Amino acid sequence: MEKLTVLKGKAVPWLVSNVDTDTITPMKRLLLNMDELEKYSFEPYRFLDGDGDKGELNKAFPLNQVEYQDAKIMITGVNFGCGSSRETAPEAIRRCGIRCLIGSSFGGIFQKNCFQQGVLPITFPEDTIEKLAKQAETQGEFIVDLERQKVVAPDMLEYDFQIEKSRKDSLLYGMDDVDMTLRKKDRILQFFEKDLETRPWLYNEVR
Amino acid sequence: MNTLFDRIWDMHVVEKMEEGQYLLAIDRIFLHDLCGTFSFQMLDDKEKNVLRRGAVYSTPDHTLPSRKESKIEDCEISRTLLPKFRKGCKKYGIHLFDLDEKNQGIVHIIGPESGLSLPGMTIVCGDSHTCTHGAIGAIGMGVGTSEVYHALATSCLIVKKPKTMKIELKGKYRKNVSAMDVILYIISQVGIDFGCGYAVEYMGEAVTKMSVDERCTLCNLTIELGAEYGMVSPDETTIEYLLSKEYAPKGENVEKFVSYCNEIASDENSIFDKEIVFDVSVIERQISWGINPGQTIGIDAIIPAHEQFTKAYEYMGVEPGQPVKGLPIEYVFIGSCSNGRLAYLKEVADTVKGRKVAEGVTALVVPGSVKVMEEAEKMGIAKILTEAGFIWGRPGCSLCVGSNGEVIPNGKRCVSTTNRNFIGRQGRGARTHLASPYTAAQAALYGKIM
Repeated sequence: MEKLTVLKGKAVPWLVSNVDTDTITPMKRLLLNMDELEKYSFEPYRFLDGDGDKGELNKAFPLNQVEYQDAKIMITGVNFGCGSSRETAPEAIRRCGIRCLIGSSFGGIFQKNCFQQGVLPITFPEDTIEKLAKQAETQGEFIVDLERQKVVAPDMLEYDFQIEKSRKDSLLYGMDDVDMTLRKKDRILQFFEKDLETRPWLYNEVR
Repeated sequence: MNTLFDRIWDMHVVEKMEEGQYLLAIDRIFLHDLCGTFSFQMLDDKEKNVLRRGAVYSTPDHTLPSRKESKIEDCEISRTLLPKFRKGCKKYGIHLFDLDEKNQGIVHIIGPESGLSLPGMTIVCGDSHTCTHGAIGAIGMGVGTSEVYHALATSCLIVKKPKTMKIELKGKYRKNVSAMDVILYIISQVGIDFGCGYAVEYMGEAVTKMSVDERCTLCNLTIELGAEYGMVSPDETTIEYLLSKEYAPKGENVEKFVSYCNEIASDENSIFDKEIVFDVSVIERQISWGINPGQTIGIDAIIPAHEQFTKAYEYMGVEPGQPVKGLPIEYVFIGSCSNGRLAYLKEVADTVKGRKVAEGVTALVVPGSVKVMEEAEKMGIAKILTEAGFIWGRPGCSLCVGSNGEVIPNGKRCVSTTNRNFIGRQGRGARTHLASPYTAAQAALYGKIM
């Protein structure tokens, strides 16, 4: 996983509520050809008539606007990433150059998938999100400092955010969760050996 | 006092990490042809093995063409992914219920139906509707490909413990109202982010009276409430349902299993972080009108007016103040992990028996599993449906998600017994109305929402 320590750059504000992962990466675009995942991401909003095949960009969609082309952060609406568990959703967002999402709430599965894709999801109360979205409109520079768990807005106001230590470490050092967990393999196997006595019926069919 | 969720959780903690994060043991992993194939790819790339292959079962469902006569070779997605999926199962020694074999079907149907999903289990699958397995008192976790890979390689997941919420359902439901109407109603009342950060448990007399099939519908759509987990405590109904199943506990284990179920069950002393009560006797048949499951109204209601719904009006081709009843439709889809179970298909057959699908309507019924299909054929359900003009499909996810490449055409309207009406879910420009099997059957007969 690509590391994430300090991000400096513009934030693109897009406060639409309940953006689902079917919208972020439509099924049609991820079945056989994953190469153009980011091109068709947010297809219903990114393209006029929601039609990526016609290919005409919707200029009202902030990610299409020239001033946000190099944004590294996105300020998102309530329950962003709800719905399907497809990991292509945060993958497409990362491929768009966005490494951090700041919103008031996220779809639970999406939020976990973000960490797997090296995208940092940060949660703040709704009124803070509105302030940050206003700041993002100034196109000033945001700083997201993962080590210090701080977001610094263009107006220099600082906001502390929460993150679990294991998630933080994985992002900071680009560690592989599986390798970390496999260090505890003996303990895991012991758990199942002991469980065999408690719930023998679960292991009848195990070959 | 702890809840069912807390008790199962606590029993599976391998290590308490920090700030609410846990290393949790995973009892069962289900793989399907989409996410499963990609997680095999990750095992290959990272040169890892499956830690406990006996805990893993796989079956194709997402990519299969809907029509029975369609060949896998004729479906580009199936043709591409299925061989890789089978190869992965073979390489990693994972049991596969292959195409048309007994036990093949939608993962969330075959889990409870085969007894591979049991009370007290932690169950992982690369699909957000894994919460369905909560219906028999398990913790079902829907995850992305990387976490499926993590679960395969380590038999564990790193998970944050959610808060708990009790949804109590009291009263009796009205005629022709089903579990689908109940859950759609709940979502429409509280909104699709109400459950964010919670594990939901359904309780109350209405839930006690529900069959396991109905509880599966309730738990299935819990993710549409924003909650990742939906559960019903195991009771006599659950145990009776499970004990006849192929993989259920047998012989001397039965007694131990039953007392374990009683031990983990929630009771009146269980304390939840949040509680909410609904009287199901006030619920009428429901249908969604917009672009998320919360945008749902009673069948006789009018489409609400609010500026925040502009995108929904535009996409769905409807207007505020318009009744939803009477909207002409071109497609009906009955099936999916929400409603592709036998009792529902029987209800549909009873509704349409001796009648005909309206002219100009394509109506597809896809059984949720080979078992459901065989039973329905044996009971004469399939015959009634085909005589009425329905297409009788092959077990799989079909038009719920379009991952087999099949879609509802742009601008066409479909009444669907599935769980998502998001923009483009059933195809670009497709207008999905979520409803119960009974309401979908009515729509098929009248050619409009009725």
